[in-house]
Amino acid sequence: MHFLVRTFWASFISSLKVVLRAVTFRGLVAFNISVPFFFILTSWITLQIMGGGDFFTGLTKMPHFLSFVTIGFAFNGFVFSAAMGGAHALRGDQEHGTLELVFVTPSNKLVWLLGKIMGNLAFSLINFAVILLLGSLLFGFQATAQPNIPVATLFVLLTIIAMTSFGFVFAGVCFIAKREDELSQVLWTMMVFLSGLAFPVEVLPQWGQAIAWMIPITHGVYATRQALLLGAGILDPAIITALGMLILQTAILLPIGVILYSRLERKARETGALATY
Amino acid sequence: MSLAKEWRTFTAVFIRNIKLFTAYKAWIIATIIWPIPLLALNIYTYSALGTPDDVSQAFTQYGYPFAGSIVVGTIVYLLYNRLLWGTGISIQRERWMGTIEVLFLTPTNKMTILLASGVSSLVEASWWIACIFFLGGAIFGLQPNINSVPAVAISIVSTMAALIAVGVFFAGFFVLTRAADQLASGLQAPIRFFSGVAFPVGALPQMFQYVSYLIPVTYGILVLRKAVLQGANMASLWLDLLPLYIVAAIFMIAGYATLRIVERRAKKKGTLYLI
Repeated sequence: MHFLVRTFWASFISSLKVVLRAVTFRGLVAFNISVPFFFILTSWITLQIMGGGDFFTGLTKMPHFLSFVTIGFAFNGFVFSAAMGGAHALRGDQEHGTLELVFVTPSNKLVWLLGKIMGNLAFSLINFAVILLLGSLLFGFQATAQPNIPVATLFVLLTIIAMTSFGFVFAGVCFIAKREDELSQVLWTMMVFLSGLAFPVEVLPQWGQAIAWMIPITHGVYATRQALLLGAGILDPAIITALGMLILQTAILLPIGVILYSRLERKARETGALATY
Repeated sequence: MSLAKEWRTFTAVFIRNIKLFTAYKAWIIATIIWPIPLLALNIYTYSALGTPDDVSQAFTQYGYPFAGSIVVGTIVYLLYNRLLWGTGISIQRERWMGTIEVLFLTPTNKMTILLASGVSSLVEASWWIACIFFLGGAIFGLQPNINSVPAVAISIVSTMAALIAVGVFFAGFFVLTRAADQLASGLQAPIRFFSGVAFPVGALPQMFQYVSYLIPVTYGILVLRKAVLQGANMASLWLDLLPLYIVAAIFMIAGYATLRIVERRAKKKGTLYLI
């Protein structure tokens, strides 16, 4: 156990230092704030073109389209770090030629990968707060009731845990498929499209909604919006449903993610794909 | 300058890039899939704010049909993106791979390398043009209004040339700043916003429009929307093509100048290897 903790800590600190090295103002703005910020601005223009948000309010019962979108894009960092952080770290080691060295050490590779993901996530939590603050300052934050911050916090944490399972699968795929950059672009766009970050899931066709609700972040964003914009409490039926679904999805996806990652890692060892570029 | 040598450099880089691209199945699959959710994302955002009729009605004030406007914007954005990550990062990638110093020791013309990289990036991305048009027609009801095929062809070629100029500009800039990854990621969203990929530029506040008209991508989207959606012919299009050529020329010259600075610094300071 002590050995696992040391592996996790070493990997976590190393990942955090890599991230922190990029925390210049330029790095912060370019890498973490620019994407969600300009997507929120795009939503603002869309709202101007459409001449108001009455249709949106009728559809979702949410009071304010831009507050809705701001919360959605605040989750953007979790897509990057929890779902893609592990693959990015693996690919980095692969490109620098150090992945094989890491994998011949007796350290637990799952714990090593978890440390890498958590290092990325630590910074995403800060981004989450920055985007919420920035969006609220620029476009206002309109809620119909007192925001329920504890419930929102609970769902942010649960979403991170659930999305980490995606991170394991994606990292495993990148062992074999390489080209993490290109695959991340596709995965990110799909997540943003399907999980309701930019618009309510209700506008998707039925098949799209069915896929959307299978992604943990959809439930996380939905419940966080309910808590922050409508003041929904933990006993609210919508929150209970989202909580149940997130726990269920985590319980199913996490073991699948770990097993798939381990299998793909084994395959990479057998085929010599660890070191191949 | 020997044209034969330049041609050999061009073909060598072009073939290398195409071989690299086709060597990764994942890359090819990602290239095929990516336009689909991106186009859908741009279109469905409007569905949250009105019925399809409301959206079409809202777009008539800008003179473009809704689906067509988004389809054209998305195509140009995808091409820009490919150029940014292909040509823009090409020299910086040599630094990451540890081969940049070797590259700068060769007597090859770096501009030729970048132009070849730009053309190969466009070949890789050419699938997107067909894919997005097909999707736009089959799913989102795109109805092109083309009166002059040469005008469409010239608009596409001119836009591609302008995007190569953008790629060349960023290539030197990325090497100078040593922050290619951050800048390339960070530049995607603002360019998408200011160039009017998901809405007509006329919907932006006036102050923002000034920024828009400094970006070649904006002009590329504008001429293509006019040629494909408004049935513009060459006679009515040249006034829009002119600023596209001017801005593209500025970017190309600035890119060439930046590249010269990079070469000079490389020789003087010996800092090319520093990541």
